Amino acid sequence: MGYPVRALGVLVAVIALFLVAKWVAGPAYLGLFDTDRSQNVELWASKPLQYADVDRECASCHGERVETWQKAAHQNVSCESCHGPAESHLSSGVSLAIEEPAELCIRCHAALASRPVSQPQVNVEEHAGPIACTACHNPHQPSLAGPPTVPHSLEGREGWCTVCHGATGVKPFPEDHAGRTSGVCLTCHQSPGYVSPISTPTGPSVEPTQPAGPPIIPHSLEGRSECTACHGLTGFKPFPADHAGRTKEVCLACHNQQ
Amino acid sequence: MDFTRRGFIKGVLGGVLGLAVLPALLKAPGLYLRRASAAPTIDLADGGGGERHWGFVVDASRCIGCGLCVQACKRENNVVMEPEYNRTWVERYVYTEEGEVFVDSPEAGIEGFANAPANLKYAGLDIDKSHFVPKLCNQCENPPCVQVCPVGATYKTEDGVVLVDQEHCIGCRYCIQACPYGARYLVPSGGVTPMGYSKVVDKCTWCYHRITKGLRPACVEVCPVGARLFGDLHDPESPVAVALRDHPPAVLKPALGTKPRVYYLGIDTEVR
Amino acid sequence: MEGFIYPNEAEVAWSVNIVIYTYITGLVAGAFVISSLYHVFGIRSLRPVARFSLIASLAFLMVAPLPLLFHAGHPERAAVNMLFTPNLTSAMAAFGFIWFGYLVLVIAEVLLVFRRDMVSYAKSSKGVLRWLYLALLLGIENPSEESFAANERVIRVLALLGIPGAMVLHGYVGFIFGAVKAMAWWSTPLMPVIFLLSAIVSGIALIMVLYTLLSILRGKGVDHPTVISLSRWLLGFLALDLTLEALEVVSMAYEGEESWEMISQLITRVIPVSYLGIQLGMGTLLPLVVLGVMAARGLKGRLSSTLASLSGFLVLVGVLAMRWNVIIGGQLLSKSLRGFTSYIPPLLGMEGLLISAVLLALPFAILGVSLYLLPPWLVEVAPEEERPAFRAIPGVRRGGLARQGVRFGR
Repeated sequence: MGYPVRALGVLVAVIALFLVAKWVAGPAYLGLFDTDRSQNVELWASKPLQYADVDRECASCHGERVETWQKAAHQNVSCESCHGPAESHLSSGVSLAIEEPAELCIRCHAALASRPVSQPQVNVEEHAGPIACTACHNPHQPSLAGPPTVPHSLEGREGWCTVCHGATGVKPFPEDHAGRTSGVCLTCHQSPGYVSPISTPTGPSVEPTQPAGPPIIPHSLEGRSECTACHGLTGFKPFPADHAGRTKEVCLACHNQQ
Repeated sequence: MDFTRRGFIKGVLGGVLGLAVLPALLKAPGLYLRRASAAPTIDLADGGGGERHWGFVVDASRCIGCGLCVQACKRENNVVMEPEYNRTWVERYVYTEEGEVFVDSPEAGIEGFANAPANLKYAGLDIDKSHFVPKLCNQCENPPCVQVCPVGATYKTEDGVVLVDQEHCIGCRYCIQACPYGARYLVPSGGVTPMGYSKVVDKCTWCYHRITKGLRPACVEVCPVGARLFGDLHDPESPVAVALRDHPPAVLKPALGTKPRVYYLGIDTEVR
Repeated sequence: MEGFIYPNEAEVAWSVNIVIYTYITGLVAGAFVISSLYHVFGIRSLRPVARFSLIASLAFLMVAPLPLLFHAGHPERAAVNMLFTPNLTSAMAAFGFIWFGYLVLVIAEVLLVFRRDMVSYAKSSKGVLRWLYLALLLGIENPSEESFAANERVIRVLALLGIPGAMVLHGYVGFIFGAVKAMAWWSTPLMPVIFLLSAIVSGIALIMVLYTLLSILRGKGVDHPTVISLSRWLLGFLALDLTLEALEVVSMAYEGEESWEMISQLITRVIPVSYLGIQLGMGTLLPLVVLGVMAARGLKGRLSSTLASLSGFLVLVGVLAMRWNVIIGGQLLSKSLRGFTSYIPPLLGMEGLLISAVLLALPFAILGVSLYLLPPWLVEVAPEEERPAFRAIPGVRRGGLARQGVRFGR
């Protein structure tokens, strides 16, 4: 056998060796024209989730909170935006409680020139100083301008906030206000804040959550001293259920005349 | 008036013709208008026979730079937390009165921009305007990364997502060079992709494991202001179709011919 | 880092290993071209280095894949995947086939060119060496003269095929860079040609420098006309190389696309020492001037050949700088066209400078072994000369059949 033939033989042997090595040790799915991607697509599609399908999941246990949230200014902020991936919470009950809420608030609401003006933003130092954001703002119901502004005139009512709004008043304040006296109320309610016209980009405009203040009495009181005659629980224009037990003497404390 | 039969017939015919032509005349501008708006501002040609045709819209005018998207993406996809390795990131563009443009992306935006040390740099400038631009893999129709991969490890699915077969990838990083948008990165030795490999290339997959289940990508899910939208372009009620309907979008680096499938609203030519 | 870069660009993807790879394949192509200039075109002034450059080419070729294997994230997959599932639209996929094919070609040519030598060595060696030579001879101890004559034809064919082979071997590398539209500093149709020309230039320079050094080490004295002849070829190709590199940059400056603003900063502010100083100044212009003056004056003799060798050395450094400037320089410029990243190769690690130094030194080690096994030098030979079995210093022992007993040099 001549030199060229032997040389060719060597070459063929080398290639054959390589082929054998590939067949023995190479990955099984490799082919010469390997274009079947289905296995890999399947692999990517079946990766486990970290963020859950919150639209369905959160409400099933946290229904009330979700309901509040759904009507408030953060309704387009997904639960997981702040609480993080929920899958571990759903499968093994890992807590999603937020320890440092202020950090999250600042992420979105600290004033930055680059943010669109429709985004509510405040200079954190000026707005609240050392006070934590959650002292006034409930993240699930942050409301338009923080704590409800006082919807009625303060004339004749200075220093008497707790008469109506004390722990046991006709319109009591929430439990977490316990111990607060009339002197501090105006620190938060009517504090200088940033009131922005909220227009959420992808949803309907938000309805104000705060009540518009006690309705003004739209009629003259002449000959009408007995309010509960018409507006009692069983009258033909009954007052709301939470007014139960109130007598005509206290009505005028809150409801101004026209 | 002499009311001849001929005259009457002429009159009726004329009237009918007139009535027939009138709506056409009235419609004509409408026809033109409809044709103009019906002409696609984006190429919606089918990506290859799949029924779904995913699209992504970034509305930079809404982005508030909170960086929740960057964080969510890393958590969802097991991306290492170091700032050199990102599937998505947020850039900030600052335009001064003098006409200069500054761009930054502190730690890819993962902590937001509120406390970024870079903010000090802008303190003394006369800022004309400024905005954020979220970035991610554009899942191009004509992807240069797919073209250059020597082993064919990266490919485009029928529903329009460019994926990396990380069992096949040899880590040569040619695709990283070829991507004009800087969307790809090599998983470092410390990190491990969900498939269990390091030293292979990884990139945004539009959370393929989520979108195939009818969910949205993690970044879209957590965006609080709707700056990121995702959906099926073929579905006229999807958020992307709705957003694109009346707003002609831009894409990044169109001159390169990559035909990106992420559409940007609210950016100008300074954004590459 | 200055200005703005995409966050993922903070880590430079292609490291110094890739610089070494392109440099080594360039040397392969260039050295082979020298060899083919004699074997195909019969340029007699290059005869003394023809066989040597062939061996040098092979030595570097064998090392060529190593930097890539050190660089790849999964080298164990690289060979198999690239050969069995190559993506036909990728220039890089051609690597496995081109390299392997070229390896076969060069090995075949080496075996054929040195066949007479190996026959002689097989006869006069003992033990392992004898088996080695017999293996290389594929067992044929006594080929006939007709066989040798047939070999001549094959050599010429192989040498001829090797020229486009060399062009493809390094041209495709240029295409890998030139066809990447995303990188402003890389993207040009001229890139394959520029890479090829600088490869040839580096190969000629390598042969010139090595030949001079080895001649001195062997105590044989440098054959000046050979060196001068090599330097003329170097001059020609260097001029061509400079023309094209300059054309690329001048074109970019003239057209003034949006990337030019940043590229001009790249070459004047970010890599000026490496680009303007080493690549252009020291590595191209200075050798051009020296060699050009030598050629114009028709200088020959010892001084000229020394100057030529020194110029060759400068060119070698300049071409390495060119690879660095293209590969690393291109990646330093952000694709956002708003800033630059930085790259300092680490000392240790798979992509460190130490590995690079070893990879650069390795071909020379292989070359040393090859020179020991198959000395390519043409020496005056008396027939029937005995060749000792063990040689301490390559080339110093006498013997080694030259083809047809040709006298050395003139």
